Amino acid sequence: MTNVFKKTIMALLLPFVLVLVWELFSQMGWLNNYLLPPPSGIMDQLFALAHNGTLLNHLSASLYRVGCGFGLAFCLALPLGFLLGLVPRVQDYLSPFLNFLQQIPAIAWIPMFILWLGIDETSKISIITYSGFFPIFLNTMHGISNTDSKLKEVASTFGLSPWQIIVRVYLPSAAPSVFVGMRLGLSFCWRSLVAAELLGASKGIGYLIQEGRELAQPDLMLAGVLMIGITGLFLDFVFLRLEKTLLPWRNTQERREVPKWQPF
Amino acid sequence: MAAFLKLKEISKNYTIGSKQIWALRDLSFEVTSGELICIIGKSGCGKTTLLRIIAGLEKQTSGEIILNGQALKDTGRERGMVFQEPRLFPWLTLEANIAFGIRGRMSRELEYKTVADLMEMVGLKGFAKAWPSQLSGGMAQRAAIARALAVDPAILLLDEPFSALDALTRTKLQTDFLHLWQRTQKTCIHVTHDVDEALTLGQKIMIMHSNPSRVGDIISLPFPYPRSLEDPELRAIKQRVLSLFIADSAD
Ligand SMILES: Nc1ncnc2c1ncn2[C@@H]1O[C@H](COP(=O)(O)OP(=O)(O)OP(=O)(O)O)[C@@H](O)[C@H]1O
Ligand SMILES: [Mg+2]
Repeated sequence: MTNVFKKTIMALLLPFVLVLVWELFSQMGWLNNYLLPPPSGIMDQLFALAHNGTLLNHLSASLYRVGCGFGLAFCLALPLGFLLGLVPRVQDYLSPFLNFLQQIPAIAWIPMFILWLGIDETSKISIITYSGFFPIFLNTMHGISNTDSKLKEVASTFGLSPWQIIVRVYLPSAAPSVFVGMRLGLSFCWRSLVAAELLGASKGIGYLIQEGRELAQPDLMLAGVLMIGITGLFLDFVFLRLEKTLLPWRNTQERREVPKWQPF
Repeated sequence: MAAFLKLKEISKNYTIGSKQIWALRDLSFEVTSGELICIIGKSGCGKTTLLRIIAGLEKQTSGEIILNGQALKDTGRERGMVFQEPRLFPWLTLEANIAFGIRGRMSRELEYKTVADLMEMVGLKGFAKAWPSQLSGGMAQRAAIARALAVDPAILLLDEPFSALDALTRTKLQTDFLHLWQRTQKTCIHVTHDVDEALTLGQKIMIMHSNPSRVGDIISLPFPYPRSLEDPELRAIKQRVLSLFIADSAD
């Protein structure tokens, strides 16, 4: 418990110092309050938004989109990654094409998605799904195809059928990888949300930022940015906790680095 | 006693690049029920290949293996395998690892009892909930032996199970393994490259030659356990085995 406490203190130290210096500089009048509003101003703005309910309104609209987009990405990517991971050598065919797609950021697709799917929720959710799909898909596929063949051999000496080997060896062995993919996927969904919302939305955190720009209210824009960061951090934290509970054996092992997928 | 496991002219060839190499060439031998036979041979003579073929993990190029009157193909639960590395499933606790082969094939109570008995037998009592990454090499290898024994195989195949351990741990595991074998009376084929280990454990030592790989001499060791390697008779046999080894290395 003291360890967790210590870690929290350590994690909060840098942001705390930054905010303190920032506020101090603002109070001394060394910063242009229009270009960079003081933290207290941003907090006031946030409290005001929270108080009249608009913050919750925007946040829930955004979370709903990310929820749908991520859910859809997960439902598509997991089975596909699974199947293709089981087929040997399929990666030789897929990798070049996936590499090609990897070069295209989600924002580049936005105009096309709007053209195809209209300006309402469908196109926004599709953008989010697109961003979340690849990390989940790739990590699942790698997780499955990297299943240790030595462990498969052990399972087959016990006379397990191919189906049992899938369930009892491939699945648990790929689980950490799937989790990494989900964490990355969720984070990418969340990041692409703003891009999707900047174009023609009537609510959502991205819209809030856009509104701040139109009303020339930097504190509103920064409040939106802050909300994105905090919510993203929170979602990631929830996922990490989930991983710790669902894969307890991972806690005793050192974690390995995973391939990253940058959508922007 | 009648032959329990019979290998008839087993050959295995591998293609490496454009070259064909014979990992095994017309290998024949027999094992009787309940016997503990040690196979020794120098590195690369095909010991692992032989065990993998018996286990069904590899297909022989030609020849036939007969267990209990039936020709073998594919893997099967009547043949347990302990690999050179423990190969425990990292996502299962120690007890779940040992239960891997019997999970879903018997009642939970019986499974629990089997696993508890085995953990006691291999000296891992109290570590039921440990993860494999928390075990030492010797403990992991004990667990691997317990896992193979859990399904009660007719024959146990061990591929240099103690070779990665330090000398002290190895001696301890050899002694424990001997007790285990005396208790269970399992037929065991124990591959090793350690002459002392073969002399400590084997009722029979089979020396494998290389180039081409074949059965060399089979030496019977009708000595009671536990054995002392200081015993003059055993020392004489050790000299003989070593000289056969040296002769093999020369050609
Ligand atoms: N999968 C494979 N493909 C090609 N050649 C192989 C393969 N497996 C084994 N061999 C060859 O078969 C021969 C015997 O190998 P094997 O692993 O059975 O030796 P070993 O007696 O177990 O050696 P060690 O004591 O070092 O474990 C070697 O020459 C090796 O190169
Ligand atoms: Mg070997």
